[in-house]
Amino acid sequence: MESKNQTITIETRALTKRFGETVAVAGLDLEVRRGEVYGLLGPNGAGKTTTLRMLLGLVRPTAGTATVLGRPPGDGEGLAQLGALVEEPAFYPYLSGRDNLRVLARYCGVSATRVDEALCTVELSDRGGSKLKSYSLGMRQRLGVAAALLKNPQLLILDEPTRGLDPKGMAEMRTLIRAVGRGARTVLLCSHLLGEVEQVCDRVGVIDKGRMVRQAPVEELRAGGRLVVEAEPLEAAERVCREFPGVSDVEVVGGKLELSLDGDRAGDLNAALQEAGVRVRELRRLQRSLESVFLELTEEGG
Amino acid sequence: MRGVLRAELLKLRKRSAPWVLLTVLVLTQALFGYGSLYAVLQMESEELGYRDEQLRAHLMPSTFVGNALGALAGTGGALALILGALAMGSEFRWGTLKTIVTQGPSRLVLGGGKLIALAVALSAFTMISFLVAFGCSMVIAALEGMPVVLPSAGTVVAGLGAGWLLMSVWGSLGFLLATALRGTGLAVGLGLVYQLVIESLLVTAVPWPVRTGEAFRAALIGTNAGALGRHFGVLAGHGFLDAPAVQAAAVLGAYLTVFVLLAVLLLRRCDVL
Ligand SMILES: Nc1ncnc2c1ncn2[C@@H]1O[C@H](COP(=O)(O)OP(=O)(O)OP(=O)(O)O)[C@@H](O)[C@H]1O
Ligand SMILES: [Mg+2]
Repeated sequence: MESKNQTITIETRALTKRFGETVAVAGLDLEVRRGEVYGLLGPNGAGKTTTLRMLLGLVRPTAGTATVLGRPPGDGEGLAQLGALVEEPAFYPYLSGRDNLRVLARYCGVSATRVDEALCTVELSDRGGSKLKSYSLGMRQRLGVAAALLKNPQLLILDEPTRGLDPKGMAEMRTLIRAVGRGARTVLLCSHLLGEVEQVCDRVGVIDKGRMVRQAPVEELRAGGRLVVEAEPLEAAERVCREFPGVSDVEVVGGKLELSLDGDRAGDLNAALQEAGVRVRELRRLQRSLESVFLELTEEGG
Repeated sequence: MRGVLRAELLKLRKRSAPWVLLTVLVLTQALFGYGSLYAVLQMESEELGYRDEQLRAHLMPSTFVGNALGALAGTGGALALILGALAMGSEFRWGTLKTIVTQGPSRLVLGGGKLIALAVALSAFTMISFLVAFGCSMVIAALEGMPVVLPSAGTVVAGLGAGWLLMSVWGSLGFLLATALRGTGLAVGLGLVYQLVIESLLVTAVPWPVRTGEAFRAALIGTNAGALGRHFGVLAGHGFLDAPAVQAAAVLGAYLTVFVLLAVLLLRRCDVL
């Protein structure tokens, strides 16, 4: 029991939240382990934000239980060790970015020296003195992450941190999340972008209509993705592929092969094709859209 | 608690709204509490050839405490209500409540810290209002060539306490309304309607049976604030209450306690969206 508490950072059991008729979260079982970057993936309205709000003690669950860092949600000791960004970052418009963080540092009782460190981490140092009103969407988003990092927290909870960012900003934000998620720090990241979660997370939970549809390491989800092989001669390539262990559902689509391959063995397949004298022009994994993952997962669920 | 208080004070200090409210208080007090009355005094002597000695006495340093309390009970209370509503309502409007709630302080500490910061700001308002009254009365005494007689230190201290109390009652009502209504606009609007319209209608416009009317008079905020002020020389208004200072202060204190408790209770229970 003792060791389990040390490895599990967030655990929910049958967590449920109803808003009148709407069931936002319906009996969610979530388990986030210490030190991992966990992605909570789901379409709009799946209940991601509501789940985070319950974990932070912002709203009370209708039913079920949750433990965060070994404490009940919203508990002061728990909150002292976590940083959060829920939905859009909310700050005082009349204060500068730096003063906003100074105010927050006083609330959570961390030293004011952390303010400049946090600003530096998100590369906002040179604009820290400007009023928040003058910040672009991306700058606000980065300040939100800086605020979440202020406590140098063990657990970081981020709700769609790349929302509203341009492609460059998104890439920077993902790099930042990977960097802060290194080591012992746990990160819970919500997103509806499969690509984002794939790039950043170790493990993913897919939720839909407030339920956990699947909880798995990223590679496992990714391994389900189909491979595309463009090779000459096509017939020989098809034969090699069909005989290759772990390959299934081979199809010819538009002069290319599409197939499913268990595990991370695309390299081995490539070698087998070369050996058989097939010239491989292209071998890549089809980026599965969130939609297709969902269709599959909901079908599996019955 | 200390951290929350320091954060709240920093926010109030850097915000323009409290300074605007303070400016309005100072200007209305100087203009209507002294300036216009002094003009009336001048006019009386020039055109009518006599002076209202009671009015002149009201503008002298010896009565500056009563004069300041008059301003606080009127304009001051309205401004305090607005400040209280802004202190809480803006957190809902900007969505910053979730930001500060997730920083770690319990809702109880958060509400307490916010209310103490408000009380500190209102005590500053009260002291500045006293300083303005004192300054204006000194100037008028000099203009009139009258000897300066100062109220006793005890009167000044008691007056400051009375001023702070009535400002805090209105301020905490604004805070409570903003918490209940989760915003600033409606809280300020309804609060002012209650303060400026409903309370006075209750004592002057409704033909209550005499005893019910008396009970209302004894129970409302405005009438008790007036009763408290009168002990420091505030001129009696319409539908006034004649109550001992201690009783008036106790009623106001009871309002303050109830408003504060309700506000903290609501803040503890509310969902932060
Ligand atoms: N305060 C509320 N009152 C009523 N219904 C709500 C409230 N908050 C959320 N909901 C409902 O709960 C469901 C889940 O909402 P939630 O915001 O958790 O979804 P989400 O997964 O974060 O979606 P998105 O990707 O769009 O942010 C939605 O159907 C939403 O309409
Ligand atoms: Mg959301």
